[in-house]
Amino acid sequence: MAGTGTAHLRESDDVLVRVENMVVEFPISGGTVHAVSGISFDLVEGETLGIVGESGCGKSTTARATIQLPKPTSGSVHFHGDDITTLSGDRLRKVRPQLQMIFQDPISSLNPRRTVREIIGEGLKVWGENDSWSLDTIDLLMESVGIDPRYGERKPHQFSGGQCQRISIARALVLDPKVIICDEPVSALDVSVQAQILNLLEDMKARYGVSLMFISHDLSVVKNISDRVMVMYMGKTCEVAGADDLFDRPTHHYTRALMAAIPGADVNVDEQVLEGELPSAIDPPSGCRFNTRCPAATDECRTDEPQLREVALGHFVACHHPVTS
Amino acid sequence: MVLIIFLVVLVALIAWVIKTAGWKFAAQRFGGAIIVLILVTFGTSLLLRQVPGEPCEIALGTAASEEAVAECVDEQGLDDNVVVQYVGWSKDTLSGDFGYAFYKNKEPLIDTIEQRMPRTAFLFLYSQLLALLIAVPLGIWAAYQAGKKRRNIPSWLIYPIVGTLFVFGQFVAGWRVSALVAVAFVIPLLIFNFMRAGPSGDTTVNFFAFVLLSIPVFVIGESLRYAFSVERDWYQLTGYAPWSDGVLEHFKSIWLPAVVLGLAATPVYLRLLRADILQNLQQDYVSVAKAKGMSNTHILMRHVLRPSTLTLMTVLGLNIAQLVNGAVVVEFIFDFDGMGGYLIEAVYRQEFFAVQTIVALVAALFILTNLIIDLLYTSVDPRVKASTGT
Amino acid sequence: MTETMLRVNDLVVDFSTPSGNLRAVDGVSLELSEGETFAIVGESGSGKSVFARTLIDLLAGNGSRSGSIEVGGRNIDELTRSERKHFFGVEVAMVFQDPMTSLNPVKRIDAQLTEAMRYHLDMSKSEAKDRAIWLLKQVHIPSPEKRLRQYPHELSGGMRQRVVIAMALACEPRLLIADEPTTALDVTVQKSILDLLDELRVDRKMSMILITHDLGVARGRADRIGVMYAGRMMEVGATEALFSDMRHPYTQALLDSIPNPAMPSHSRLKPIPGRPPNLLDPPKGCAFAARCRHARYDCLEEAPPLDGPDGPEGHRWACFHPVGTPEGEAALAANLQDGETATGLPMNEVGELV
Repeated sequence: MAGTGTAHLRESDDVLVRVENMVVEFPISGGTVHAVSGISFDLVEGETLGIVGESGCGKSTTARATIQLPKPTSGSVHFHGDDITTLSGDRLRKVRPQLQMIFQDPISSLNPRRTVREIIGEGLKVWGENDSWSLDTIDLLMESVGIDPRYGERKPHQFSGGQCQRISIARALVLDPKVIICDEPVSALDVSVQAQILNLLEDMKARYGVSLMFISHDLSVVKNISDRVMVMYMGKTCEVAGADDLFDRPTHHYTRALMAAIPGADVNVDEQVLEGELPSAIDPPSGCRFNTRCPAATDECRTDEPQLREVALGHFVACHHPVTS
Repeated sequence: MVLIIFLVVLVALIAWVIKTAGWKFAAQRFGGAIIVLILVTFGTSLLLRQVPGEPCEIALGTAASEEAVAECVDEQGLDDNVVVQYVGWSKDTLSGDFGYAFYKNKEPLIDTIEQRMPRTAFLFLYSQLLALLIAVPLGIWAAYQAGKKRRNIPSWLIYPIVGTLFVFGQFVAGWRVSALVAVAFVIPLLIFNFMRAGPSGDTTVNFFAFVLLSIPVFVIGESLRYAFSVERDWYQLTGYAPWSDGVLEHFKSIWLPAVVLGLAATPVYLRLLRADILQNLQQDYVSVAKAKGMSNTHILMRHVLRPSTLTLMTVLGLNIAQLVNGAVVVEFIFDFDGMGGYLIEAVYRQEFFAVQTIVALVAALFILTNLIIDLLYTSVDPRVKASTGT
Repeated sequence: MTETMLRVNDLVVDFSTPSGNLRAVDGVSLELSEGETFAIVGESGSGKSVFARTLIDLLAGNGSRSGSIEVGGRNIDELTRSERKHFFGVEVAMVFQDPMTSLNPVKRIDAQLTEAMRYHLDMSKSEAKDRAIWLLKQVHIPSPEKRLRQYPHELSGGMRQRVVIAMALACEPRLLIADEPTTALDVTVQKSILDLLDELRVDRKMSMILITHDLGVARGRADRIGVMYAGRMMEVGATEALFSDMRHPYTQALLDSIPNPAMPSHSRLKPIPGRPPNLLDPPKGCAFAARCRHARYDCLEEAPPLDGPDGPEGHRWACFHPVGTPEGEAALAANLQDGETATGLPMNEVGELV
């Protein structure tokens, strides 16, 4: 697992975002945190890419570094063919509206002192009126995400978590972005509300033609919303495949362990309980980073890092001993 | 003598810091401290020179001849460039030569400091100890009461308490003070009682804290001085007696100013501790401890108290600045010749070098105290690492 | 039939708030046998956590309770003050949701583990320490001697939850209440913690109440499940019966709203429209009526009682028009004809809410 490589990147005119060998490291006293260590992925127009992994796998950092918050330590991020890691200042600012983000905590990610209409319209104000949007369309947008425009003068705390997440979605959509990065957008919500938001995201994607990067620790949610899924472990890629394909034929031992752990679900995977603790991100294991907990680990896994390779059409895995049935 | 003690303490402290927090941290902090000291003293010297007036003329009086003034200016180097003067002062001070206060018979400054520093230090020490002695138990009790279901102290109980205080106060402090205190407490309490069903233990403590907080120090000081050294002779304004005069004499000479300063600090400490405890009582681990069947006292003392002292410690460290400024009023009321009074006098007389030296001393003390407190954090809360404890 | 470990009768919990009385738990009754696991499933605000906390006498200051709680045959209201402390320290224990905050950050693991033993069981320091090491081994923590000297922040989330569990087990409780014990943890860790709880429960013949928002967790771990909504018990039954013959529209809606990993990607989810009722001003009839496909006019008049054909021991539900019964089908058909439910929720041709 936990390998690198770019075999899964697609050559197509539709590719909107193409991230290659992205590395994000944070210096701390006594070492460096290797948060993301050579991740590559791409996103084609109208696609939803799900990124799944447990806490500390670097999925959020990957998403944030893609929109240059913070800039990655190394690697390239091409957006519409331009490498935005080389941009700075105003030129980067001009790209930003096209890459929007939705956060996990719906209530605290909205300014509590602003009215909902101000929050949604803020982007328009900053960027001046755009051809395709006018201030009137804020109401339209509110309606389309299911918030009654009559409540436009209310503040975020007067809404429930689910409603705040709807407002966040409207805020992200107002600048007519190309890509919306959703960082655990439904993790803080009750299941009944979660379904509302997931459906809304699908609707908005179809209606406004955006692509989504959907970060979550919940495999069921990721499968439901994604076209393609990337499984991450300790800042590395384990497996990349179409959503249904990945769930029908999980090939990487880590992916299989994740699936076997879904509570109460009938998933056709032999049980594999993960032993041991997550290794330190300051001093990650050599070779395959999953080797300390993998049931199939051999000496090769401890020394050589596996590269992503295609095991079936459109199904890529970084493992020396993948499970192929 | 004071200098030697100071140096010994400093060396011991540096050694301790290096031992507990490592070379890098020590170098950072002490380096920073030196820069702060330079900025503070140089800033002071620049500021003082903005004040109109000629120090030598002030020192020698209006009757002094021009030659005498000129000689004085020359001797002090007062016609030199400010930077040159500052460098000269730094050299002298670092070599242990503190110069002298030239307006008073050229009395060496080191003697003044040796004479006045201990009394101010003791005054400060006792007052803070007293404040903590009152504030910590009361703060804990108040927070405990606030965390409990409304088991109020019956409101009518306030009246016999205040009444007893009044009667008792008459014997101690005379009826005027006693009546003043009684009225000061009873009137707001009456209003309070109309507004609420009845104060709980927590609101009562808070209430007294607010009353105490809103009385200016000089009012407390003046009324207590009046009560205890005018109406009664429980405190003689005969001046400070050092330890060498005997323990009893020492305490007799300092207790009232210490009480006044302590009372002024008490409500602040009490409120801080109470707020921190209340906040910590909301934590999940308190629920866990309750679920384990631990008693409330156990939870309060063993779980909550220690992490609740962080803010209190911080403020205690900052309060060391009171060593000069807060004590001035009290020193004045009780005719207590301490550092605060001296500093003010020196500023009025534009004794640049004396002011700079005292400011440097106090600043050094301030920085060191806060450094110690930063290091104490790590022992109170293991999550705070010394390297990040700024 | 084994001994009844816990008997809760018509429990009502009220909170007095500045905006009025809030009824968090509204008439919940429950019986739990020795060694049984009962899962309470519900969303936030359903009253499940308040219920759990009430069982272990952790009601907040502004809360009041009515209804009786019997643990091991003893009514907790008949205990004296000191008996009570001992009782809730020894007989009943609780594991909380967030292991990051449920350990005191400034105390070492050993102090936190041993305090209950020393307090309730009068153990000496060394006895308690030996037992602490044994307990840490029981919860599968490697090198326990080393862990004892560490502070909570030096352990991972999963490790901390193991410590919390060890702490709960310290005095050999007969009833363990686990309030969302794995919600804050990763899925792989969640599985190992739930496995651990199962293992310990079987070893010690402990009864367990598992509070969770996750029907999947409840299904995999509980003997019986109770579904709570707006402070009331909506449906209670043995796990298999509940899942095979789901009766309450809320239970079904809850299950349908979860993305099923067995379904292909982009399957349309079926959310529950609207949101839970305001407990400061609860509806007169069924609490779920405003979001329910089956809601008829009688649902608005009075709250349906929790009942079933097999009496109090069997599968019971609180609904006038249950799923999979003639009454339920009739209600659905009538609503379909009207184009909306009795509470005005519009429906489409296939009987789904839109």
